[in-house]
Amino acid sequence: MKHPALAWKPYESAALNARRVLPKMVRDYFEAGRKLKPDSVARRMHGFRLKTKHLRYTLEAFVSLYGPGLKQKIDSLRPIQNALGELNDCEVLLASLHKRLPRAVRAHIRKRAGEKHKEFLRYWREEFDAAGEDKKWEQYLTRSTRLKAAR
Amino acid sequence: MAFQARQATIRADAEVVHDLRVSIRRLRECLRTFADLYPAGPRKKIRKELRKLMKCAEQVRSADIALELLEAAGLGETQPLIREIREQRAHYRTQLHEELTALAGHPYTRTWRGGLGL
Repeated sequence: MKHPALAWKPYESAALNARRVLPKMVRDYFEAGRKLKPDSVARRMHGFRLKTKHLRYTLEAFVSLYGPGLKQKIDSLRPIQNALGELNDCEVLLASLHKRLPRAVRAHIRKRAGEKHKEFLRYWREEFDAAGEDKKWEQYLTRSTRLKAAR
Repeated sequence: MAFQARQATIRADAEVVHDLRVSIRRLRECLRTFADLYPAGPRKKIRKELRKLMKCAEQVRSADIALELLEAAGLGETQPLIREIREQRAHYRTQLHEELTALAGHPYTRTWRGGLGL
């Protein structure tokens, strides 16, 4: 069941809905990302990839309300989507054609998957989730200028 | 999404199929995220139609990804596996084209907008 803080309320303005739901959604996203490790299994990485897409598409619905600053924040999700997308492509191919692939091809694809996994973790730790970034996101989504004007 | 659907009936390349999938996914996410704000009946019906279309597009996309990865891994055009995937791709592409043509056969954007109260 959906957490009450994540429920949209039709009788409230879009601004109030955004201010209530989006910071909580982003907080949950950061918490989920921090649980991923170098040895996290493919299914778990894929689950986080879907979470990233969900967050991205939800935020995109509010760009007109927050302005171009939100677009920039959304763009910072792109490297996560790219790395996890390519990692998933490799995993799906290995799972579907494993026995039919020559050993060298399998090794090449496994290596690529490992690189993408590392690429994601590096970006996550050093850039996206660097110290204070989560608070910046939450503050931005709670205190946008346009939202203040819309009250 | 309607624009990407039209494009995908004209062109058959990997990029257009990718763009179609993204546009379907955006619409599905929107219907899911804001489910409480739309009438349940039409929303579910639209999601069902989108799911069918997405499945066809996914099969083409999977073949495109497999070809790209295998070629990058050194498998040449003449390899039986590559030829087989190319044939599968052509088959899935035909199925997708049929789905898109059927969708375009009725005024679906007007029906969907009306159903959602937009």
